[in-house]
Amino acid sequence: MKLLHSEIIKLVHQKRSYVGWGGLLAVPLLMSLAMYLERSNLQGVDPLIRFALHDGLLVPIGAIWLLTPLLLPMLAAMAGAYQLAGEAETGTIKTWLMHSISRGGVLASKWGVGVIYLAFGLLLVFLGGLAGGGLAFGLHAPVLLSGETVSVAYGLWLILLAYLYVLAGALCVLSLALLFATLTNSSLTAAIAALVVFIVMNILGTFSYFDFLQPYLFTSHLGDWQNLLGQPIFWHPIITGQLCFALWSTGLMTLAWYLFRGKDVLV
Amino acid sequence: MRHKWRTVIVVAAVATAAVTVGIAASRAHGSPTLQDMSVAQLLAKVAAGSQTQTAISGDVAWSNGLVPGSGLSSLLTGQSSAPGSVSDLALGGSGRLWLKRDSGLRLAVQGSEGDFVLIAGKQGVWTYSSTSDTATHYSLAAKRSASASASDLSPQEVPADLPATIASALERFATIGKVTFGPQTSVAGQPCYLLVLSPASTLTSVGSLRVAVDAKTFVPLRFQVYAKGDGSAVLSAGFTSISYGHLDASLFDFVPPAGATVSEQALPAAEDFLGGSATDRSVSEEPVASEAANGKSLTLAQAETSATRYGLALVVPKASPSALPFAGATVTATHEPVAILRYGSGFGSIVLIESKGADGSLAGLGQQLGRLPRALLGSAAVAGQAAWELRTPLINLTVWRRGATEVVAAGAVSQTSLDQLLAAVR
Repeated sequence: MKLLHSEIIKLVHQKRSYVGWGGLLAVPLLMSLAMYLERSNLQGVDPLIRFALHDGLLVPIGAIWLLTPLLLPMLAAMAGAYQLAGEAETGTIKTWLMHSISRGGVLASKWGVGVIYLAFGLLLVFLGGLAGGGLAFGLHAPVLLSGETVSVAYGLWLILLAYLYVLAGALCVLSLALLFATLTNSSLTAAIAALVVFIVMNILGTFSYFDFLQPYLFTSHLGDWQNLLGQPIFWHPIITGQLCFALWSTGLMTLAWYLFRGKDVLV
Repeated sequence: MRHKWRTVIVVAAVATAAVTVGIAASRAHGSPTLQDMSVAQLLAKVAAGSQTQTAISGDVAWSNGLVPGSGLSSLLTGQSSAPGSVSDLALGGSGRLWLKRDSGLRLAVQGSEGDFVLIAGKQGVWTYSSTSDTATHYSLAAKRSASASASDLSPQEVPADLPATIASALERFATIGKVTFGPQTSVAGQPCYLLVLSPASTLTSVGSLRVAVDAKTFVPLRFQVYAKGDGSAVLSAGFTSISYGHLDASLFDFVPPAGATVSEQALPAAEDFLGGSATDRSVSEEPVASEAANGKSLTLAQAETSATRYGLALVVPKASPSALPFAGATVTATHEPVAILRYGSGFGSIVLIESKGADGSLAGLGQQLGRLPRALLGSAAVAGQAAWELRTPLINLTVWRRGATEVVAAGAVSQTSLDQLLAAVR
């Protein structure tokens, strides 16, 4: 816990943390502004965006719809890669590991601070979306993709669940980047490697020949949070997605721990 | 460094082996042996099961291999096949289905561009597309809806001697097709009996109809239609996951969201087409029309006489092939004069549907077919008139026009059989 606390202290004192968070906050605000200015010309857009034009409560949903395909995974890759490889670049990891602390604890704290970084970033997206959407379009009882109109409270609950789902998906990329960070001392290399694997998985998912792989690729489940926006909710793909994310994150972090345990930090 | 990579490879190999063994073990898990019973007994249990299983829900998938390619709608419109209308659903897809006796049915389909929902309940049928934010309400004709809500949705008693009744019906049905058991199968993770209906006709292009029935609940979980000589189903619809349990009746109510474009459409009642009440007809006093209305089949001469009264000049084969004898006709004129002539029997039947081709439902079918991609169509000539042919693995169809009469010849038969009948058209 001490390790995690010190990681959090580092996180809040690093300028790049605020750059990432600022970027995430800017997305829903810019999106609200653009939608407001273009509201009469938005024909044929995705229903999530179109519904948000009538209800600012759905702008946070539109924001994660925009972020999940690439921007959020990119941020997760960078967050994961820097935690270990970035410190190896600056040499601080050697100082860390020369003390009598558990390497598993170090890795867990790095992962934990990555989770906090991403969760706070998504919270900013949510709040930015609510603020921008509320100002531009007002906050009303939302219409779901299945056509039902639900209460504001229930709508907010569904949005919270959607954000938690998206966070769990992003943690797979974070774990992937941390795994690569145990193999290299370059944060850029680790981040790019994680993104390459992410892109390859996405490509595999687009060809019907590789359909048999779909259930096992975490990238295939990233968009399944949209099942929350229909009534009744399709829980099966959501639970399957969460299970897949949990297995990937656990597997990747176990492998990362195994490699990090034997890592020669003096190289 | 070399040691590190060796470790990665070993860990990856162990993980792969574990997953492989897991999958193999799960597949090797033996299916329970199903209880022996006759086809009639199983059908009786299906009828009884429909009374005891009041609510089911699950993921469903359906496919339509009648038209090869990625989807008819995309071929027609050049747009994505995201569900947007009922007609899109006919082309195949997947979604989730909720079904509750006495309440209705709800189908939700997710597409890349939005969701499509179909709700059939006591309020009629609603569809909603979030892609276009449009809702359509299909209501049954008033004369029908009252009786439909009262009788169609209410549970019916299953007679005690049902197996014997079904066995007797199957014997009579043997001239049309034979129902047997196929190999035990598994659908949606449930062990299932497989019922196989094999048509008796040698002319039909239908190889078999297969229905998988849940061995525990006796609910049909999958329907498939195979073409002759085809190893994969041409048409298929079934559950990929299933659960039996309580469903809230409010699932089958729908109120369109504010701001959505709402349209109303009236569904024609079945009697508007064939075999309805004679009092609904403008020509109910005519004995021939009344015969048809009462479900009695007309002779060819009666059909020609009746059609002539409506100004419809029938196009008929001079002498039909021996394998496709004239089997009866129906003439109706509720919306437009339409004559249906039947040739052959059972699955090997061919129907000639003839209309005046003015503003009716059949009118312009030839022109609509003409808009289909050329790969799906053949051109032909029937009695010297240009014709369109639509060829599919199960159904073949030819459309042509003679004078004011538009004729559609269709059947689940081979193109050769259809051509033989059309060659005799005068």
